[in-house]
Amino acid sequence: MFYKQEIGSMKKPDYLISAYGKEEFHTLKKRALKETVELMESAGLDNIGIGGEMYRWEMYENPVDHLDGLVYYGRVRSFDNRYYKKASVVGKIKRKSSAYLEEFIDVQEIAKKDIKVPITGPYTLMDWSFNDYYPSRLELGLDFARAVREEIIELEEHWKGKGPLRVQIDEPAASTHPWEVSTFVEIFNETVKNLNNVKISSHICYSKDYRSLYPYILEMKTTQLALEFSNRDTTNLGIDDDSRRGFRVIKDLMDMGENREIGIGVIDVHTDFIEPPELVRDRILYVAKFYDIEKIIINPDCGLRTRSREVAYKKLRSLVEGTKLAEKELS
Amino acid sequence: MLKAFVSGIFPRQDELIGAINRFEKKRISFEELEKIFRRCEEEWLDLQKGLTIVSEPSLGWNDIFRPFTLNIKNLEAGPLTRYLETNTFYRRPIFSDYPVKENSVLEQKNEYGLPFYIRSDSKVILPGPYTFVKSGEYPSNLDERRLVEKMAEIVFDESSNFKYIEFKEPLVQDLNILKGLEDIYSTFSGNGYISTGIRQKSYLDFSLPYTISTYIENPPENIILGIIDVFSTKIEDFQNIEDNVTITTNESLEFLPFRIAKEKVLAIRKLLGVK
Repeated sequence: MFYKQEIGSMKKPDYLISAYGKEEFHTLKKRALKETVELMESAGLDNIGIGGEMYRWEMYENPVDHLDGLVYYGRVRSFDNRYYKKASVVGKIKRKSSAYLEEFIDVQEIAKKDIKVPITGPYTLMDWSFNDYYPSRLELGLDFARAVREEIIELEEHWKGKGPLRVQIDEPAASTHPWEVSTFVEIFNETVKNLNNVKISSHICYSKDYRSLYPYILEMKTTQLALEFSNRDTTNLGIDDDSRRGFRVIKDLMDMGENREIGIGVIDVHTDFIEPPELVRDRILYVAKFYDIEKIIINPDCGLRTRSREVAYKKLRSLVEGTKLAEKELS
Repeated sequence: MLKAFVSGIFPRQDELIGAINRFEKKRISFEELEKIFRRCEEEWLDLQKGLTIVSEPSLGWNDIFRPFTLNIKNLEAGPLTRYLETNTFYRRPIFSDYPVKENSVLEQKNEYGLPFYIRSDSKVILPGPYTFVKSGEYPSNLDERRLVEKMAEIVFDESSNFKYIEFKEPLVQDLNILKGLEDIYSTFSGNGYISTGIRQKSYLDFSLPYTISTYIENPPENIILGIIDVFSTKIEDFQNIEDNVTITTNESLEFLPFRIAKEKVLAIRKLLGVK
């Protein structure tokens, strides 16, 4: 009944982490990809994404390394003692090499389940960079959009599967500047315009308030929104508004016109707490009370890279088992 | 005379980020971590020599609220939440009741056992009570104004050990909000200023100096100009700065990579004629 998907990243095995920056990283990454795909498939997911992003060090650095016009001066805090390299735009943004193709070709060889390519969105690339060159954020964002679009077209040319290629555009920065949502949508739509055999979903997480994206987001050319809710939910069982306070906002989104496929984050990726399947069940049943069941997709809040692989596996198992419980209730 | 200094939490050096990571994985001892931490703090204090005010780098703070969310009764560190319009996240303060201070907050240690400050004669940052409450979450039976007052009592009490305080109030974004806090801030008896999120060119009389993130000519004495941009890696060209103003950063220095933050501090030193 419910389609269960991964959102993106998984923690890399220790042997791959210690090989980072060395030649052997390139020989070990395929082994890590294979192991991660097997782990995700054995957890019971229908869609394993790109196999945990084993070929990418980080969602921002990876695409930036394949673009001209940016330089790094160092790292900036993400949270606690987690830092990311934040580049400065010092020239015109242009794609110089493939950011995703090698990984995409390899995962097609390995995966038995559906795949979906997560790609860092142009608005997020813009927002997470210092702009020392472009006169406006829109102009910068549109050049990032053109570069990302070239990536997607290249993947489409190498797609060997049946049906449309699934691409997930990750835009965690989408709601960062509520006054700029129309700009975000314009940049997003420039990225996906005239793509033929591609099914686009969009992942937006850690928004202060998803409602701030409306009404402009309704113009976004995406078939699915995969969003984060468990981070702000309680861990109590129940399908009442209070127990499920993290998911209540979906009702508001519906009132504002949302009716696309919605990927609901039923697993909090920032804690080692393993959600019992019954909690996952209740999160799904709560949303199923008011949202079109056929348009509900099940996923974690975000990529699981901040958890150990053991914890991530247990969380994915819980997601699968909890979904089964919900399906049983609903049938 | 031109006055200039920097603001907020400072960026951790790569060496310290790496040391904390290794400590968390039990690959180095606490003593090794502490040694690196103190060396990094000293480096920042040293870099600021000659600035009008020397600030505690606060390298032990994981976010602007954390010493308080960890150490105040009826408060806990909640979910990761975006800080303003940045890509940096804090743990949202969750109130279960009105906050109660049981021990000195900044005397406690952080998550890694490191101190929150090393010199009480430097400027210390403290979260502004308004921003603290507005950035948090509380049950509907608690009154927001009362929460702000209670937080102010705690924060002001904490400030008494220090010579000079920067209250971080980025959610004070217009003069009306600031005006509404006059009663609260008038009870603060120490030295310090409020770093606000105000960008307006107008200003009002207030019991404490405060920042506005724009340049104005001949500002009153209690206005500090937050014109050093932590959201750009371009080093400021300080030509045309009048010599009767006080300037600082528009937000915490930690939004810059260490290398650029250091270059900006060196540019300020040059502006002040420090060799």
